[in-house]
Amino acid sequence: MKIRIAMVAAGVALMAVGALAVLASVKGAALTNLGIWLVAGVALHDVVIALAVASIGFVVAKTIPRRVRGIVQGGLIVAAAVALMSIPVVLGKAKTPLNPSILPLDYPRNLMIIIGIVFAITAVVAAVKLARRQPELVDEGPKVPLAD
Amino acid sequence: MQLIPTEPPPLPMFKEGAFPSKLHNSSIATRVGIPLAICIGVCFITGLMSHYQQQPVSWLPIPAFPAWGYRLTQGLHVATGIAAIPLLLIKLWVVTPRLYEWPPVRSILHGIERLAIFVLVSTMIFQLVTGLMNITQWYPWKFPFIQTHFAIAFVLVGALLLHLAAKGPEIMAAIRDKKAVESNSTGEPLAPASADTADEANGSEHADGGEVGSSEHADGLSRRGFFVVAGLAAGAVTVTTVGQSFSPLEKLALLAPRVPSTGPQGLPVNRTALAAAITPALVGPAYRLVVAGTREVSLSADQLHARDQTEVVLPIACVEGWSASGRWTGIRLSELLDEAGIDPEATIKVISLENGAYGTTSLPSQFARHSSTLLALQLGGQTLSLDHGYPARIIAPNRPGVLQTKWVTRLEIA
Repeated sequence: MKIRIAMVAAGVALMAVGALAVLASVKGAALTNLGIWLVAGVALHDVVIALAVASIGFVVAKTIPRRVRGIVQGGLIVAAAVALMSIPVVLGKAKTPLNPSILPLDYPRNLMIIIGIVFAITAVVAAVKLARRQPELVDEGPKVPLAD
Repeated sequence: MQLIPTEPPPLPMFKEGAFPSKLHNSSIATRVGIPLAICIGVCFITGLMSHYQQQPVSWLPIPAFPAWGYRLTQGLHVATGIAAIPLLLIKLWVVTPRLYEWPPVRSILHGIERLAIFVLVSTMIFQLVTGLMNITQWYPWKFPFIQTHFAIAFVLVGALLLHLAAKGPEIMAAIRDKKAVESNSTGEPLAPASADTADEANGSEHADGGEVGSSEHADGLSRRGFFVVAGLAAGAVTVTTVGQSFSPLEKLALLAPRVPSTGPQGLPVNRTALAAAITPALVGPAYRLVVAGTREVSLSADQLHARDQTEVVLPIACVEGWSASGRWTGIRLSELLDEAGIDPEATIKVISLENGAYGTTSLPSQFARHSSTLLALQLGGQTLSLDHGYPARIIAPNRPGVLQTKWVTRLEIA
């Protein structure tokens, strides 16, 4: 309990230090802009990303056979992680002929290659699992844990 | 008058069984949270180290060794930040049911806790998103990035400490519940339907075995599979970017903003001569390097090249995470400083032909007098290109790239 109280005290102190540092270096229109960015990130996640994930999950649950559903979900999660992380390089806003060493690669093509590899691996793993005959026991009864 | 209605809004996420997946539970939230917290911790510490490199105080000098120190810490800073992106998204997905708790606030303490979580999530998304944009030099905002990134980091870590304190018992229970990974033991479900159920076993059965439709939904990744996928997602974003600082993986860095071997003379450039307004006239026959101590030494480019040359292999390590090793040839800085009669303990002011924030830098004596610190004239056996700082630049061990001043024209006592 003592540790938790100390953590709360340290946490509040650090937050106060950070907030004061923000106020010291960000002022006026920049501060409003910062506030918008701070709230927009949460809104973007809780509305757009969360809803997109729920919708895709729903479609996967309705269309993908149970035995390979987890594999397909896994493939989609990995592909989505790479795609999201690559948005800034794919958009390449700072790309300039004046400095060819900034953002030097063909990122849209590279992203397609990586997603292609992820989907290919997912398809192979799913196909192998579907092709393998499963012991009948596992398929029966709602209380049995998932096959893998 | 009642402030909060007893009934939640008639939206699907507030309905019982809205989150049928068995993966929405506290033991999984904890197990995903641990690597995320480690990434955040590494980001914070390495970030402080990088900040300190640029704003040192004299009573706590930064050592000039190991030469690859900044390369490692800043490479880790960016790599752990990138790895934290999928981990954060996965963690947020696991705890989604808690977002739709009803009533949204049960008590003042609960309200404070939720507010702290809002701050935590908001600052974490902010730091990771703006940090990721910063490494591609994309700044579509009005606030100053460096100061904001530094200040918000403290808010984030403070909110994280509050969160860990508030969830302490749940986290400890989840860590002790070793079976959670192996078996079907569920930990405490996070779904709203069972949030009020004190009895853990009841709650979990309720969440698992609800309607037929929902249990069908719940099929999919197993617990173990979920952890494997979280690891694969974090691994995938790391493997496709980390080659920008870890050169053995350069070929796999398909999505890295920089490639260590791409640039003039096989090394990336951050600020080009054009961007720094360095014209050929500035570095022409009129160029002189002046070292001002008790004596003033003035040398032309040809005179610099005619002197004894030393070769060192040192990395350029950028604050944006990329780094690359170079073979530099030039004059030992300590020799030039001695010649001008500069005190060995003195901090050196390095003045560039470039104006602006990094036009003048300060080189503490442990760097200035280090045997591998050079006034470099060549890279990879060729005369420095204008973008790499022709006629002469500083290269010192364990320094951020922005402080490896290019187009040096004057050295004096700071």
